[in-house]
Amino acid sequence: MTETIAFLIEKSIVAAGFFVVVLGVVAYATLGERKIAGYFQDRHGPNRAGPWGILQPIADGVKFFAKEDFIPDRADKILFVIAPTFTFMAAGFIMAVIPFGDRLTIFGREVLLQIADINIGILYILAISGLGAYGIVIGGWASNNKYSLMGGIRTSGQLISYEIAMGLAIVALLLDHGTMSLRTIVMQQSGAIWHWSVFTHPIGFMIFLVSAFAEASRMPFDLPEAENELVGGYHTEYSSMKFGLFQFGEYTHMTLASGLIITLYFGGWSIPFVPIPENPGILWGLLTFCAFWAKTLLMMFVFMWVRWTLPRFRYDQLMNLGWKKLIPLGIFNIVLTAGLLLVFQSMGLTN
Amino acid sequence: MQSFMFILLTIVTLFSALMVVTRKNPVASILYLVLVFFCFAGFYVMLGAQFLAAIQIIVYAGAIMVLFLFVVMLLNLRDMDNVEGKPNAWQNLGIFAGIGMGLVILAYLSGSPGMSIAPVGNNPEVYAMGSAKYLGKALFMDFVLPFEIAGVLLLAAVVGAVALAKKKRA
Amino acid sequence: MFEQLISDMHVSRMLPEILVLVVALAAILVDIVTPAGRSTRPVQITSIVGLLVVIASTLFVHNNGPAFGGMVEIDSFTIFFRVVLTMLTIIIMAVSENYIQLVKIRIAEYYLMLLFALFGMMLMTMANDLLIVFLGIETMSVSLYALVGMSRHRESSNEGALKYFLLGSFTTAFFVYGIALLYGAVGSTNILDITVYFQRTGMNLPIIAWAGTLLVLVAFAFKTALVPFHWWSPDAYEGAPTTITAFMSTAPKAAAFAAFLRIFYVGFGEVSDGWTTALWWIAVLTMTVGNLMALRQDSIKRMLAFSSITHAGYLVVAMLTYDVIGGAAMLFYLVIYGFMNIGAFLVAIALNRNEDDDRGYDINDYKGLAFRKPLIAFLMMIFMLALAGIPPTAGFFGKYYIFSAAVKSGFIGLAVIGVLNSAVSVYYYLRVVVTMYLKERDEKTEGRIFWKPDMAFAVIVCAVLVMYFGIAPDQLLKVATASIGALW
Repeated sequence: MTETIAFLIEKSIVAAGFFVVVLGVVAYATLGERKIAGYFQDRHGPNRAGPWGILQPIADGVKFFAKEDFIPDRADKILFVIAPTFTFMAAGFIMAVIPFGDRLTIFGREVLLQIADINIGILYILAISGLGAYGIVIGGWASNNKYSLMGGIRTSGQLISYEIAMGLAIVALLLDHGTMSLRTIVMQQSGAIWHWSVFTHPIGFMIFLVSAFAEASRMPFDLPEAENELVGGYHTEYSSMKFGLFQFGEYTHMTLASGLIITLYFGGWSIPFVPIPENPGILWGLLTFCAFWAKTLLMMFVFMWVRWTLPRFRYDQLMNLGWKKLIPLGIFNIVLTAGLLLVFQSMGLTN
Repeated sequence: MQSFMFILLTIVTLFSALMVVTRKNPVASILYLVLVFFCFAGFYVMLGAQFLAAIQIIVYAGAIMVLFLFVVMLLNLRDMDNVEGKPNAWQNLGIFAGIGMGLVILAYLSGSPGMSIAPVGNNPEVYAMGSAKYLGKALFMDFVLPFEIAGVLLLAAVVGAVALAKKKRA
Repeated sequence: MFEQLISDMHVSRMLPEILVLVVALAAILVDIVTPAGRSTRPVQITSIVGLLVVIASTLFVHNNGPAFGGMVEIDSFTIFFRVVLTMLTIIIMAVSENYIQLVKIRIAEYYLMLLFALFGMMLMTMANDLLIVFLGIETMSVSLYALVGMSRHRESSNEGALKYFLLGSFTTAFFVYGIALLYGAVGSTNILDITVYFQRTGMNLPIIAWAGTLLVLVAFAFKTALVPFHWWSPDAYEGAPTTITAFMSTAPKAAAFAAFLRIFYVGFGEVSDGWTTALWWIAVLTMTVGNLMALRQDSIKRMLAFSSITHAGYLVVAMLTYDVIGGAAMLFYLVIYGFMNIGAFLVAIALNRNEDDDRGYDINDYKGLAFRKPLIAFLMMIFMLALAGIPPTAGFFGKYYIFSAAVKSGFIGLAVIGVLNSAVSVYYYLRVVVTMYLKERDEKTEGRIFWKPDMAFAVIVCAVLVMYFGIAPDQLLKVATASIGALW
């Protein structure tokens, strides 16, 4: 019984800790985005609130809370309120299975730096990110506004299309790894840097990356909110903290999507050429934790980099890319991977 | 603990299922249906079929119901006020048939002693059956024929849908 | 170990089915390499040649027995239906090219859907497992939904397809629910296991097994358009392109009856007392209602659609005898009914004045046809006489075998009702003949006649077969008896 309670306490602490870290990263991602946008456009970005604008996220938060919370007259009140919460929650749930680090030993307990290492981790992520669409779609519909509705409709089409491509990329990865547990996938990529899946699955990585951009509704796939076409898309009618939640959910999604890409294709928390020790101490745990976040932050920079570099797709281009390019490519990738695995196996080599 | 979860899930499932058929707003119906599918996934987990549970959410809640929403939005259906309030004779018949069916199953379950509706608990053997590995073996060994035919069925459906939907050739 | 597993599956026993799929894929490839906008002739030829190979492989490669762990059973019953269904499909395909150009369907998917439907039907005839029956029915139905809606510019086609799709989906739900309940009772979906279970329980079944059996029965009644589950068929038949109507009223019906037979004779044979009672009433209703509705039709297409319900009723009479004689009569009737009904529909197509207009099948168009086109009128007369069951056509022997089997099994009341219905049906079939031969020509109703060589060939083949089996029915009956014997 004490073991159960200790386990519960341990998991609660781990979960709460990760939550705080992720929220912090997300908050500063908004600032980072604006800074990066500034540099890309040869200006400074926010620099009034604190040195280099580091208090800007707090100021933004206060601003969101202080603004008038407005619900349109003809809107579906309940769904209108639920929608942003849903978006945020769906993004947050993904956190539960991402391995933020290896184990560390503290107070004589070996603590896993992952909230839950379930044996269907990848499927869990696919399932939850599929649900992410609901928040946006419902929000768009509940606003009772044509632009919002169109944003919602675009989202549902876009997310479903790219989820297929993403699933196909993952299938090829699973063929190779033979497991759906994210922790095991990371362990298999540890050691030499060329064990990273990005080198063994370059096509799959391309597909996954593009799909992840589309799933996160990031430029160049931000059609659901394309401001010069749809005013603000699904969140046109949203204000105050509800709008804030949408924004926050979006950045959370981006952060965790980066983390997922790192986990699946860049070795996750593993440090290249450093073997995993038998008895990890605190230091090892923290090192892997830092390695994970270092890689993830780099990945997030790529997200922002792309946003301020590429123009937006048109909707038909988006669909063509998804259905006519990525999905066939994904199927080809699966066949290729399966064929190569078969060849390697028959040659007695393990991949 | 498990039977408590089971009862809770059952209540939520039945409540949501009722809401699906009684709501006038189609979007509300769809969202309740999503909840029903969620509860199903919960049942699957309790039965040790985690893989199925995840697939249930990915396919039904994540894809099919989003398409439902998509269609409802495209048609811009708001409240279905024009639907008659009182069920007609056929609908009553349907309700009776549904209740009758429920009674049949209930009668069967209560009549067979070896049958329990309690979840499986932590039986590791049953738990292993829910894994992707086990399912994969079953699909590609015992059930390889239905599996392959299902593929043909989907191909036929895709070809048919394209045939009906594609623009006229000049 | 792995090789052993594969060889235990006996994949090669399903060679014809695999070939059908290969043909379908080849047809897709041919369609891709054909320049857009051209005719679909290459696809048609590929499909027909491929299906001829399928028939050859069925007839000349003998490899009977269960496959895939008993999920399907290849026996003489399967082979019988394989050949019949493939032949009917070939006939429909052969006349389709000119027709689909005429009615502006012009897409190769038409042939693909026929091929997929054929695949589904073949599965149904061999399925030894409710799962396979279900998948076969679905593959066939999905293809048919699309085929019914192929004339997209016609409203009735869209309407028919939608109604067919909705009601067909309901049927699917019934069927799946029935399977689930049976699985709950038996613990298996294999019909041999179900037989063993029923042998143990006898008629003293738990209510859940009765409910499952009933639901499966209802689903089959839907698929074979038996009263009171026939409501989809007139609309679907009328909306569909007429070649497809001819197809739907024959081949899928035969396949559904084949699965019906195998499941109820082999699987539910032990409880036959239960389902024959239900089928008795269904048979009476089906024959009578179909007839009464067919009587009132002025459109040949609708008349044939309703009369096909009646014919399904006759087939049910044969089925519920539950013995070899009745089963053989049923198989015999399924074959000749296929040829005579397709023949009649093809003549209706030939005389159709205007496909875009659903009124193009008026019986008045047939006034004095015998003086205008004696050959077509003569062929139509053969089909009408055969459908009415008048000697010397095969239709007579078909009905004779059915009703004598019913009498032998003690269903005398049913046989009397059947014969009476048959007499009623003579009215509307002979009405066509009378219109053709005894009415004056009417210039107003005379339109163009769509009588292409392929059509003429197919109609003549059907007519010759109908006459041949009428004069020498023994051969076919012998084959039918041997085939149905496989179920015992």
